[in-house]
Amino acid sequence: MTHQKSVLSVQELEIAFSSPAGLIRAVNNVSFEIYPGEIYASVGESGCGKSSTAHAAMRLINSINSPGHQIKGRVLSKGRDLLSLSNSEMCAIRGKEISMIFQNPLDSLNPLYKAGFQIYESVILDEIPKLEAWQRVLNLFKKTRIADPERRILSYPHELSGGMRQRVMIGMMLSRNPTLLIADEPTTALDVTIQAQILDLVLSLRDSLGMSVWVITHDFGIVAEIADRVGVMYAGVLVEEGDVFEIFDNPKHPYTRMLLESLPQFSKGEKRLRTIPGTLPDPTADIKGCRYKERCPWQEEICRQDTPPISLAKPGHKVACHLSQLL
Amino acid sequence: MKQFLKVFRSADRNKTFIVGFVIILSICFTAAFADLIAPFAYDEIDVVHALKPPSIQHPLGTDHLGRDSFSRLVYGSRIALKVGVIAVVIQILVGVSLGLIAGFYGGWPDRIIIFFTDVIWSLPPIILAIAICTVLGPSLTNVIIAIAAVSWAQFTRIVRSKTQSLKNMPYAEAARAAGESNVNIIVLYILPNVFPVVIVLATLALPIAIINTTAMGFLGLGAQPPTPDWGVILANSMTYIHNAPWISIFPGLAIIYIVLGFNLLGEGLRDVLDPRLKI
Amino acid sequence: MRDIAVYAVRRLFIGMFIVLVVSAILFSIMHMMPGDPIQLIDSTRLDQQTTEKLREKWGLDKPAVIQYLHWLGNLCKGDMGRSIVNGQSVTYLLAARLPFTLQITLAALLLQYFIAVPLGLLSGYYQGSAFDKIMIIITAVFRAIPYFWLGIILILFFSIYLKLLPVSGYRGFQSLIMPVLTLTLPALTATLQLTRSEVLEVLREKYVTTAVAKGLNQKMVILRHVLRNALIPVTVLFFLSVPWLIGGSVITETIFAWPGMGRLLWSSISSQDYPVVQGIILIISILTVISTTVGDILTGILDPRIRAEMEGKTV
Repeated sequence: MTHQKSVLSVQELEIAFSSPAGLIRAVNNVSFEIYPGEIYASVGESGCGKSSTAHAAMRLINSINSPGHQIKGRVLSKGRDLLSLSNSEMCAIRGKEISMIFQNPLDSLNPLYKAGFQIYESVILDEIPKLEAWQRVLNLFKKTRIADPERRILSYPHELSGGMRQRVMIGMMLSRNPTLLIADEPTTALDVTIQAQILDLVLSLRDSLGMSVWVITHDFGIVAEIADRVGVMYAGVLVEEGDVFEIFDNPKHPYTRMLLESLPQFSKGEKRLRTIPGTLPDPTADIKGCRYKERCPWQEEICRQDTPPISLAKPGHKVACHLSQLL
Repeated sequence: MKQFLKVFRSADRNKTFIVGFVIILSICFTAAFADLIAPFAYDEIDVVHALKPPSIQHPLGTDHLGRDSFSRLVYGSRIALKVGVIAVVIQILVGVSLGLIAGFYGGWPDRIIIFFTDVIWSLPPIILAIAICTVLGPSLTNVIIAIAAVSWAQFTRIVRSKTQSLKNMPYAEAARAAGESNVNIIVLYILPNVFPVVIVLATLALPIAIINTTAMGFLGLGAQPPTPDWGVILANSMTYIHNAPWISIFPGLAIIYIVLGFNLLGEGLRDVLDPRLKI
Repeated sequence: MRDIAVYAVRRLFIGMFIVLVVSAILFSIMHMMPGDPIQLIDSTRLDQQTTEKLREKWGLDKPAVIQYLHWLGNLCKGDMGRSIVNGQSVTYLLAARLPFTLQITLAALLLQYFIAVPLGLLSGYYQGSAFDKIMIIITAVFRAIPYFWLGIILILFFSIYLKLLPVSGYRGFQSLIMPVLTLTLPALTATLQLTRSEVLEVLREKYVTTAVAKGLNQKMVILRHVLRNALIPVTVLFFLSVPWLIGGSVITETIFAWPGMGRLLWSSISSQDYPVVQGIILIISILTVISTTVGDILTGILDPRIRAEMEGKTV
């Protein structure tokens, strides 16, 4: 793969939230790149920090929804560090260069405005004439394969099904042709058949618009379906990253291995589903050494002492484990 | 029951609740031990020392009949508490029952109950209360009845809508399928879940009842002299406002104190039970 | 939209029916009261015969039901009868007094809205700030203040101590100030609390995050997505406050000797002046029903989800 200039470059990102129980370290020293035209997936269980990373990149973490938050590191896009831009500079980027769609489309659309208007609101930010703007809105409804688009433009969110709302969201966020679309658990709240349609839609839009997509999910199935590269996160740390096929065939990190083994399709024929024993480490604790050590069957002394360094198992396949050479 | 204990365990972390609780506790204490706390009897007339400003002997001064204001206020706390609590208890008994029936059975019972609720709502509560008190005659008991009568509807409304959503819950359906009688379902399954809302509403209805009682007393419709109802004291004070302004100030402060206590208690409870509860 | 109109008409019809029911109930209540207004007139000056004649004149000797129907009939002609106490036409009395009540009621309504809403918005938006904390404490304390006591305190301070404002009665604009302030207080705290909590709730909503993620600037997010949503319940409360304010005017007008309907109601009840009481209650219940209906309809107009429910109902 040719390493062109990346669309998004996350560098040494650290995010912490304050809570009554203490400082929650949600993201610890995470770094990765997303390249033009690719679909990159951040996968991991709930609470691993993948969603926070995306919200931080879009500068959506503020003192109202997360009082007492701390963010360190850089998120570079087109040479600028998004984390150090002013609010108005960031506004110019949101929706125009980088867009984000969210998990539950019902709550994510304002119930008081019609669907068409909510897309129009986006389109008109580029200061085009009204008529042309509404034309674009109609086209977006068609492009996102919403049935009966002329009528649906005038519908309120509560009059639309979950799948349709997600399409409206997608249309809204793609209306200004961003170079990167972040999809935070885009299909979690939808049923399986709709899930497939939405994924299909995202794929085809990527092909036709040539944009990059950063998918955040806990579902390996989705990763397998659409991702080109995947980054596995655990307890706020990126533990493994690489090409999708490579990771599925050749997982190097104990967590990735055990995670893949516990997928139902891999334990077919066995009497019980395989699980990973133990629980996530305390997010408020300052952890020494590897964060996965409590649940890792190959744990050694060095795992308890030193943070695992990031090594290359193969070009493009990164692992954060002391014992990756041996496994 | 489990929820109740949960309330108390997390309650101690909630400052609002604690402050409210302490205030109410102090009022209950004052009411219970009024005989010990008040230096004089509330009807001890001493015309020689009428309308005297605050002094060591009479910390809050005396009224137009020489009665000690402080003692009267202390004894007045009994009335405030008594009326507030009894009125709200009646409101709960009537309002919740009707709300359960209306919400659970629907159909005609629901329509009749809603109609009555609408009739009550068609007049401002105070005016209706004045009308009732005038008919029944001025007395503390009648004030309690009047206040209960105009405000039970707030419980009915909330309980009715809660019941409507609860009766379709899976566990209610299961109980019905298992052959439980309707009454059983209401009492065992729906009532416990309606309880938290009712409690919070009750703590907020209490201060309103107290203010309304005081208003009734102010108009002369409530307790009759020499009963030291705070509203009555306030009403009397207006006549002597030029020479003895202190008589007007203190009853109001007392009312503010007890109302504040219940408001804080209610808010604290609401935070504990369900911060997103919208009443 | 048409469906809302249908719903509105239906509600008003039911409302008027309720108003009639209320007036009927009231009528019966008043006639259950011991004695009658004639008795309250100084009986030493009248002998048995005159008393009987007076009763006849006012129709008080007939059964209650007949009296009520009689009253209803006259009502349709626009005649609400005459005051037993002073013989004046009830309609005339009300027409003279109602504007005064409306003056202080509307003034209080608008005043509390225009003070409470901005304060509530700022308080909610800057949650946790010193300003917000002060607002919370002030609201909590002010909510506990009985408005009639506040009236007395205002008199103490501004009339007696500072000698700035007239104690009572109607002596031009200055007389308005204290009654209006008295009525404004409780409504203000309720509106402030509601505005603040609505703003807080809306700010946590996901659609606000969406609006930001779209690239809308702060001003647009606040105006279009926060305010529009947060102010719906607040605006509804605006109309629902009207009945409360009318009720509050009874004691307020009594304290300040304000020549309004509330004070007249109180004195008429005390003197058992049935026609006047009947007339005032009629007006008040009509106003109340209209306010609550407007409040309900407004929710439908402003919130499409509720509109859908309403239309479901009428269909």
